[in-house]
Amino acid sequence: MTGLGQPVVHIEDFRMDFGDQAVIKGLSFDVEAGETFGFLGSNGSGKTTTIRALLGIYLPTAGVLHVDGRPFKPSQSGELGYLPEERGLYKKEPVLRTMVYFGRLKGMSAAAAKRWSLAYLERVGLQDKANVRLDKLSGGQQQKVQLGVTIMNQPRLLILDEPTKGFDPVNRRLLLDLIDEQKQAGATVVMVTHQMEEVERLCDRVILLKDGVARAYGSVAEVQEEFGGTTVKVTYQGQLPDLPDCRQVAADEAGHVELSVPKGLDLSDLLGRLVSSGVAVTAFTPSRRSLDSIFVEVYGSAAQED
Amino acid sequence: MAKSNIATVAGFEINRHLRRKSLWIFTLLVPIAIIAIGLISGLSSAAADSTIAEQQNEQFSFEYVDASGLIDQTIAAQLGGQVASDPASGLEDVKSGRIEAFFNYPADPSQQAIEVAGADVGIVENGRYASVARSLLQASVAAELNDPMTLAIVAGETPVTTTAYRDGQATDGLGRVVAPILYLVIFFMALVMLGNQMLSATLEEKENRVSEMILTTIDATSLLIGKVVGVVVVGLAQMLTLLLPSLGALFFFRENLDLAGLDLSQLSFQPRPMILGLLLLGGGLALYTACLVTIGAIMPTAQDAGPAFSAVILLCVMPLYAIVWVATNPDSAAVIALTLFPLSAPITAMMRNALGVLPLWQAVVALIELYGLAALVLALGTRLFRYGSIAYAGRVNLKAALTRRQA
Repeated sequence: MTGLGQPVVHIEDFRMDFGDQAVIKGLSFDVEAGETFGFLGSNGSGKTTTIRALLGIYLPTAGVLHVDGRPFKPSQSGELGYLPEERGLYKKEPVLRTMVYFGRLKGMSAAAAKRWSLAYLERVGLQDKANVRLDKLSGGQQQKVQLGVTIMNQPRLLILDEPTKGFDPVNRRLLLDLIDEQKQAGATVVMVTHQMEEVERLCDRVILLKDGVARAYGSVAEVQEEFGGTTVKVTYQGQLPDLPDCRQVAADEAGHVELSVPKGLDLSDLLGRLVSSGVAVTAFTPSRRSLDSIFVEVYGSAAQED
Repeated sequence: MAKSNIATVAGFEINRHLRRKSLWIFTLLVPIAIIAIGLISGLSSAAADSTIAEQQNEQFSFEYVDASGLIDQTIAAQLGGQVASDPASGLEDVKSGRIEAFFNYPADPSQQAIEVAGADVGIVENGRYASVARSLLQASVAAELNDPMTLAIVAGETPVTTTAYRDGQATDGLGRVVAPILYLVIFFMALVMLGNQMLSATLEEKENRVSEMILTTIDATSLLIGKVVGVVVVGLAQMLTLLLPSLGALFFFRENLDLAGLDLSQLSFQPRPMILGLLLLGGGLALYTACLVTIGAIMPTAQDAGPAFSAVILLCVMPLYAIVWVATNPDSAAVIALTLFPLSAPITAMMRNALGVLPLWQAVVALIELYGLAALVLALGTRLFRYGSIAYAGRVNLKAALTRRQA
């Protein structure tokens, strides 16, 4: 799909205006072949707009948006699996006919699309629903069909916009397993999400978008490092002293607290201050700062609850 | 890829539409409704004729006075009538119920009304009195003439043959109208049968939230072409379903059908009206399709698209309400305006073309308008669909969709 060293997705100085409002302001980033890339941001930060512009659904105001070295055209759809935020299928059509239709549009033969669809339906327990109309299926069953349509034809690039949004736990697990499989098979995955646990589990690199500009960009470790590097989970008895150079990122409940430690602060010094203040520390576990806490810091606590 | 995807989309559309029960119910309802209306109309007409005949032959007691001197007393007696002494007593006898009716013939029945009085037997049945009074006068006058030819001429039963000439050549009369008027019939059937399907061609993706998935899989132009081709094929299937039984019956069972008035040998297929009619049909369908596709591209749901859809249909069929005016005043300013206004042009021009009263320059202008505007509107609809179809909840912002620069 890509040439040597060429990113699968290349976005440079992308700007998008809706009327007088600039939604994206000079955004640039690359997604490399084979990586799983997290595209993070609160609602309204411009994630979906960027994806839509990348895939030609919106015309950008300015900038370069390339998939595989050129602006995306539907003729490349055979190598793309796209799960949009707003999703649906032809509700009055039978499951198998719909899947075969999309398979054919993606360049599969009718026989291959049917074979693949039947195998997929069997895998997800819908083999007896192949000839049932989509609107006769439950919401969860429709989600499974939607996922099947997304990953048909072994796409080399998967773009998943809020992939677990509205999914029940069973389908969420199925989706994450499917993403893992696609990743193992060499696919490049772009995930638009604000589910930080998914990002930490799956993503190699991330970009945090806020108000149309990149707030952070790099590997998960690099972003964690950029935002303070370390958090410490402390289990203790007594009264915590005032720690002006640390930020509390999780509630202080029943003798447990999670502290964000700024760069340069010596952890042994911190432990020494706690002990010398009379606090009985029974556990002191440093770790990289969680993406969750970084997200809260960047967007505020309200954003994560959207 | 695009070519095969057009075929894939068209095949999908054809398959899904032809499998819908509602399509066939609607398709078969049209001829059933036409047959039912025809039967009701025929039965009503026959019943009315029968009632009139019965009324004319009905015997009831009546008296009359005859100032005109035209009434034959023998015929009056055969119908159950006798002469009254004077109008006042005749009227009194009706009021008292002694007789059922009284007719007062004036001195000059051609200028003055015959006064009829009768016992009330209901609004419809009361008509028998006037019917018998008039029949009695006609029969009496006819008996006086005693000349079948004069009677036939007076009754307007004289046969007439007309031959019209154009450029020194006899034209084919009504036979030349029938073939090109079929284009109008086809156009009207397309309006009725394909309208909703054309409209839903661009609405369905939005209503089902499939737009993003589909537009990243196939380009908008190929998708729309495939959908329009699919709908047209479905429409042809519907029309054939309606026409084939009729044509089959016409060709294979003609002798068993009472079609004395239908002489296919009189049909004339003249090149100019046939070619012009075909071009007008194609242009009309193209513009109609383009308008509906564009409405579907702008509106979020079929419900929202309803008023605009109705307006297009109304403008298209408007000339049918002026059919007599179009036929009798083809060169009037109003008819020329209907011919040149794009949406009313197809039906008006096809009608005038069939009647042989469409000047070539008006035909050319109408054709240029139809095909040119269809191309423009379809391009607009495709662009709006391309960049507006993910406006799931509201009407597409036309300004935004049209002013975005091409990538």
